[in-house]
This record gives sequence, structure tokens and C-alpha cells, in this order.
Amino acid sequence: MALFLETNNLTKTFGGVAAIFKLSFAMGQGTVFSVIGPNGAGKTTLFNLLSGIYRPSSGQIHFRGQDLVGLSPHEISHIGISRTFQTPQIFFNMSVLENCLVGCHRHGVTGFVAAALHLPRAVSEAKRMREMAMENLAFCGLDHLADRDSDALPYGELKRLELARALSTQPRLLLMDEPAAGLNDSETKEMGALISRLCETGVSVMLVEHNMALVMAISHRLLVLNHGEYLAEGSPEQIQSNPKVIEAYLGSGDESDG
Amino acid sequence: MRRYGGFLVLVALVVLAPIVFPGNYFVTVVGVTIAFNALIAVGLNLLMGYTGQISLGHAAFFGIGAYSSGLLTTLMGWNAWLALLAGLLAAWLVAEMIARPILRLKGHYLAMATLGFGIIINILMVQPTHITGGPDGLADIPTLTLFGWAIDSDIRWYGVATGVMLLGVWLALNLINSRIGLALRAVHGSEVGAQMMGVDIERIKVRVFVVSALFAALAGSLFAHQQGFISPDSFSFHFSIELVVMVVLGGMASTYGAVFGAAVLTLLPETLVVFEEYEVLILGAIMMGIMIFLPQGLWVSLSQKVKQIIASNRSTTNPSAIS
Repeated sequence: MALFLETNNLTKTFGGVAAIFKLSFAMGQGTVFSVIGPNGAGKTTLFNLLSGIYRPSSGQIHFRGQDLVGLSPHEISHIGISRTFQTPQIFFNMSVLENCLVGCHRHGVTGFVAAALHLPRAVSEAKRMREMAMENLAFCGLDHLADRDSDALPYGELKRLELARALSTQPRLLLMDEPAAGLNDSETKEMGALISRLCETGVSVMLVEHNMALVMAISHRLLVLNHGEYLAEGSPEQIQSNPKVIEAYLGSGDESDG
Repeated sequence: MRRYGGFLVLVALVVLAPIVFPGNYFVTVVGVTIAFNALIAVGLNLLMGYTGQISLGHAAFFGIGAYSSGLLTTLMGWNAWLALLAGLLAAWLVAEMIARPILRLKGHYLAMATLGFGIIINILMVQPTHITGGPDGLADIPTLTLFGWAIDSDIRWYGVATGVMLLGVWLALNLINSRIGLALRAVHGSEVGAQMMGVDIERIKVRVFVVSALFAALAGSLFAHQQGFISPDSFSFHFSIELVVMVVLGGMASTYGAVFGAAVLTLLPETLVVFEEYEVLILGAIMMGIMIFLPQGLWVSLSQKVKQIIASNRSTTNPSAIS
């Protein structure tokens, strides 16, 4: 059986500098898999590679047996990978519900002509999408804000809106880039609970996050990157006691400046 | 049904205007020009207001429609409706060809590229003097005939022009309230976000560019038949800018705003002629004033104010009515 997600010697260089270098790892289905590492370790670059925003310089990415290299972001979205961003990429010109409805885009077939002529099948499709979007808003606790303008939401709710929107694409794998950044303690806890619940519904989650308490609490497995390279992989307990990881985060003590 | 309330009001206005003011110059003559301009502005607004992609060359598509109809009916003796279809087809092909490379550009670069495109098309109207008549223009374009009924009076043209404009508004409203409209607005909001939601942003940008070009070409064909004479002046860079001003003046991302902007920008010069040489000066001052005090455009700003007033009235009489 093909692995869920697997990279093989994945490399991305920018002007000769490797942001990701010969990275090989595999992620299992139905898990919360976290990618951690010091600043500049290449975590966001990895997400941009997996979601098709960057094209790898070399190496392979396989998702459920399918080669992802060379696919554009919208194609990757269609085969079941979605993501959220470190800075939420909310459509601020739209309402909360409309943001979520864009997430349903890939489930629809209505084109320009059917839409412009307001054909019955376009109308029924729109109704179906509306229900789907409302479900996902409810899952993230935002259904009561559906008709609000998204630019009127506080930051914590924007983060949840981005999650609800990504869920509307019905991803098999969800990449979450720092979902807790900028959130206070209680919001972070809520977000953690939301991610765990999400995983129970069958969505696999890959997480990049700096909040270690959150990462250790909800992750099944962790991958540690340092300077774009594989450093370690394992369960939260294994990683916490791994000397290489501790050194990468804290410095060896001999160096005056990390 | 609620979202067509505004449309019914617009239909009522268009129908009632010539009944209340029969034979009025501003209704039956200027009204036709307003309808053509509004049709182009509504199409351009899909591209600019909703999708966030500027075009400073849309007069070119207006011209492609007009010259296709003009040339094919006068030189080749084509049926006017066939010529109109040919004009739409030509605009489609040209839009499709230039949209692919051009719409990868953003902001100022896109503005420059569309500007260049508009100028090139305008030159193509001026230079082949033996075909297009060059700067002197193309005369004796026959009028349209609909089921043996010649559209040969001001009021008949008013009917045709406003009818087509209303059709354009209806199509645009449907489009905007659909899956496609959501995707277009998403491209405006965040391109990378839209892509991750599965929107093929390159393709959808090209499509909406083509749609806006078709709106302009349709207006151009009708314009050629209505005027009976066309010259490159009507399709110059200057008119492209006017179109952009109509969209911005009415309010971006509002279909009614585009219609309103087209009406205001068409009517203002007509009413300001009493100021003679100060006309352009006053027009410029009015536009600057609008942009400073109502930056979201006339229509959008005013309708927001009206909504606020209604909401505050409601809240004083029935506080629970606010939703």
C-alpha cells in the first residue's frame, strides 16, 4: 500500500542557499504530525513545497501514491491537500460565510455560462454548498457570525475562519502554519482541541507551530528540522529527550552565539 | 428574490423615463449613450471591481465590436446580426490571446500592458486608411433591423440599448452571486488563498477578462449601427480612462454602482455645457471632490449612508429589529 505522504531527498534552494536540503520523511494517515525547528529551519518552505506554491529544486513528494511535483496549488487542492497560513489569507472583501463558500469551490461544477444564466442546477449547487459551508463554520464555532464582514473579526476568529474555509475543501491532509501564533492561552487551548477533534473526523493534520506545549499535547509524531535538514523524528516523548534536538534549540553551551 | 429588488427598480426607471419625459433629449439621445457606457462599465467592473485586475485598454474591445460591425456591413455587405456575432468572436479571440500573457502581471505592470494594448488597437484603426477610412472614420453604416422592423428612431434605439444593458446587468448580477463570482472576489482578496481553495486563478482571470471584453464588443457593435458613423477617436486611450472612471466613480465591486457611474459621467459633460470653456475644469473638480469625500464611489458610499439612516431609524422605534 502506498504511503500517505512521503518525501524523498526533497531539496529547495534559493540562489544557491538550500532552504530544504535532501529531506526524506513519511507521514501516516490519520495523525497529527508536527514539524518543529528553530527559526529559519525551513518549516514554511516545506509547506510551500507541499502545497505547490514552490516547485522543488530536486527530490520527490508523493501523496497517496501520486507525484505532487510540478502540480500547481489549485491542482493540489483538488487532490485533497489544503492549508492555512501563518498570516491568515482571508478574503477581507467578503463575509464570513462567503469565505467558507470559496472553500467549497472545488466541489462545484457551475461555470460562467450556467452561473450567468442562473440555471436551476447552479441554484441547487449553491444551496448544497451553503449547507456544507455552514457545517464547517459550526464545527469551528463561527456559525453565528456567518453574515459578518470578515474584516470585522478579531484575530482569533480569523484563524478559526481560515480553518473552516480550508475544511470546506474537504481535505485529506490539512497543513496548518502556526495556527496558535497571535492567540492568547485560552484561544490556543481551543485551537488545540479543534485540531484534535478534526483529526478524529479523519483529517490528517500537519502542523508547524512554535508553541511547544500545544505541539507536545496534540501531536502523534514530530519531525525536527534544523537549517533545512532532517534532524530527528519520533513521538513527543522521544523528541523531548533527544540530545540533538535539545542542542539545536538551546545551543551546545560552548558557542557564545547560536 | 430579494437580490433582484434593485434590478426591478432599475427596470422601472428605464421604462418610466421615456414615458414621463417623452421626446426629452436627455432620455432618448443621451440615454442611449448611457446604456452603452453602462453595459461596458458593468463588464469592466467584473474584471476591475470584483476580480481586482485593472484594464486601461477596454476601449479597444468597444472598438473591435464597432469596427467589425462597421466594416463587415459596409464593405462586405454582411447581415448586421452576423457582423455583430463576428465582432463578439473577434473580441473573444483577441481577449483570449492577450489575456494569457498579460494577466500574469500585477498592479502597475498590468495597467501598462493593457494601456499599450489599447493604443495598438487604436493605431490599427487609424493606419489602414484604405480599409477603415483612417482618422476620417467609417460612414454609412446601416441601422439594425429586428424581424423586419428597422431600429431607426431615437426611441427605438433607446429600447434596444437599454434592453441589452439590462440583460448585461442581469447576467452580471447572476454571475457575481454564484460560485464563479465568489471565486472572482476571492482572487481579489488573496490570490494565494484562492489557489489553495482550488481556484485556477490564471484561468478564471482570463475568463473574466474575456467576459468583460464581450460586454464592450457588444456595446461597440450596437454603437456603430446606432451612430451610423465611427472614427478612431471614440475608441482612444481617453475613452478607456473614462470607462475606468465610471467604475471607480460609481463604486468598485457594485454592479449598480457601475451603471450609476456611467450615467453620471455621461450626463455631467452634457449638463455642464452651459459653463462653456469651464466645463472640463468643473468636471475635474467634481470628480476630485467625489474621490476625496466619497472614496468608495458615489453609489456605494451613498447606499451605505441610506442603510445607516434606515438602521438608526429602526433602532429608535424597535431596538430588537436590528439584525
